[in-house]
Amino acid sequence: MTAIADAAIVAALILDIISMYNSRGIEVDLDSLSEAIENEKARRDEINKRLFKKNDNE
Amino acid sequence: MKHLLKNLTSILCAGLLVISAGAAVISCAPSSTATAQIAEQTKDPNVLAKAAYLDALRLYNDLADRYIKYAGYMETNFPTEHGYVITIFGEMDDVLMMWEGFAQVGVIPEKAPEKMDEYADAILTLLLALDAAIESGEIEF
Repeated sequence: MTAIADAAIVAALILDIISMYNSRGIEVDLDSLSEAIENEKARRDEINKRLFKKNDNE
Repeated sequence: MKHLLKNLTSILCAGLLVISAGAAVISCAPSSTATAQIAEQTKDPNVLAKAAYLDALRLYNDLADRYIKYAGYMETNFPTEHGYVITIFGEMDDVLMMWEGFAQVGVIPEKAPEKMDEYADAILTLLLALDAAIESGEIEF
């Protein structure tokens, strides 16, 4: 029950961001959930290279 | 210095206006989070925890992706604030790395969603302010 409540909190905060920033949506189901996670992890790795590299150059 | 402070104040004021407008949109936004979509298919808390992790990842990626576009401008014109934002992203990344381990066993780590929300709010405020300042012509980008 706590996990469900926590998941609801996450959904609510992400929905806020999506609504306010017009973020791209996502379509996911039980079969594609793991793949979607891996895709976002790979995206984070690429983003971090650019984000933190800029700061390292200071 | 005075000019910089005036600029920053203008940016933050413009951002508050945009946030107010954005808040009005939230109530009629479509349900598009991974957690909401997965919750329609299962009530299994282990699976929901993985979906929540996916949403947290997307939150981080979307905010960072948008900030990168302004990073050069911020680094040049507001280096202190830029350093602060980078620190926040570093904190968010740490939370996500910890969250990943929990997600693998189907658990949402305690306080992690609240921390992400807090960090995201700070960055979103800045991003919206920058958007508004550029759109109004207050800063050139």
